[in-house]
Amino acid sequence: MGCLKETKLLQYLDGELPAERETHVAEHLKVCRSCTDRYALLQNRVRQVRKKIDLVYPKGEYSRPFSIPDECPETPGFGRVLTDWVKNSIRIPVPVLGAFSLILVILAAGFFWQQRQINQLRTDLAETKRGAMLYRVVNNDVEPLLLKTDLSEFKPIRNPRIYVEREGESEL
Amino acid sequence: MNAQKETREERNDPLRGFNRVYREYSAQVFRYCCYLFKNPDEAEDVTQEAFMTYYRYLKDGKEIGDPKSWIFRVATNLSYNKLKRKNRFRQLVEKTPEKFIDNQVSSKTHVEDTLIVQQEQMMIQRALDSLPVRDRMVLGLYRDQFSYAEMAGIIGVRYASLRTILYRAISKLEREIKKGEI
Repeated sequence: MGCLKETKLLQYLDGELPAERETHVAEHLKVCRSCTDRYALLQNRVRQVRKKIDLVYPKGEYSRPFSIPDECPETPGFGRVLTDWVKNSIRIPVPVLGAFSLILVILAAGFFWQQRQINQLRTDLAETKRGAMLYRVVNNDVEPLLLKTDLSEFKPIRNPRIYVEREGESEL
Repeated sequence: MNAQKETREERNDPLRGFNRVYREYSAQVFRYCCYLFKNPDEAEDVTQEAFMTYYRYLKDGKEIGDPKSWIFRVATNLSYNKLKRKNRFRQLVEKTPEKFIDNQVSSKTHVEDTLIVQQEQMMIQRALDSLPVRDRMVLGLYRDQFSYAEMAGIIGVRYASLRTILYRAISKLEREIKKGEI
């Protein structure tokens, strides 16, 4: 049997080794001078550490009665656990949260405004029944503005009117 | 005989056992929480919450084999989360209230001795504060005479790793104290 590690000596010191191993360690300590010295040193160290922790360990009494509520609150459900977790784990400073919410609101408003515009154009288109389409000239190229508009319901006409937007001006 | 009767009654009505458990362990749990938080208000909150959790379990008809370790484990988890949050937001470190550190020096002793002890307490406290939370917990439980198996269960580590964790915590504390002495 080789020399013993400090962790094993500590376990032996605390009486936490199984009986069989305890006998082994005890026998080894009888014959090994180095381990015996280390064991004595460890005993002293542990005693000192316990004493030091003892010095700062609270010793106040606690006699507050535990009042059992008549109706003990039920074990919190999943929703409650989730909101508690969010509350406890995500703590963003209020100004940052405010700014973030403001940006979100602006983006959402922009998105809805755009949708409204597109819907308006669609309605206009449906109302005119003339198959008019809005185009924009970009780099001398004409690109349709209403790509998503489904125009299949409109009957094809010979000369569709085309709106062309050039540098902010609309031409017919 | 009384104890036997009490246990039989507790078996019929588990909530009866709650009062006994609370009487026996609340002070110990509270001191352990005070040791971790150094703030009696927070320690009291955690103690009450741990016992409330225990009460809910009993009310739900669940059985707990070793209430002491169970409550300590709940208190440890609650404290761990609170301390982690505290560290994250770097809250101000509270000073240990004097009333919770036992005044080991009697009034007859010389004032100088009192000062020396107070200085030593401060030094040890500083060393303990510099340790990781888990090490502090292990040392507190070790001081409270818990067995290795109980400690492993409470702080949630394998039994086999506990002796290493404990030995390292002891060594770290010694090192930190020595650092403070220099």
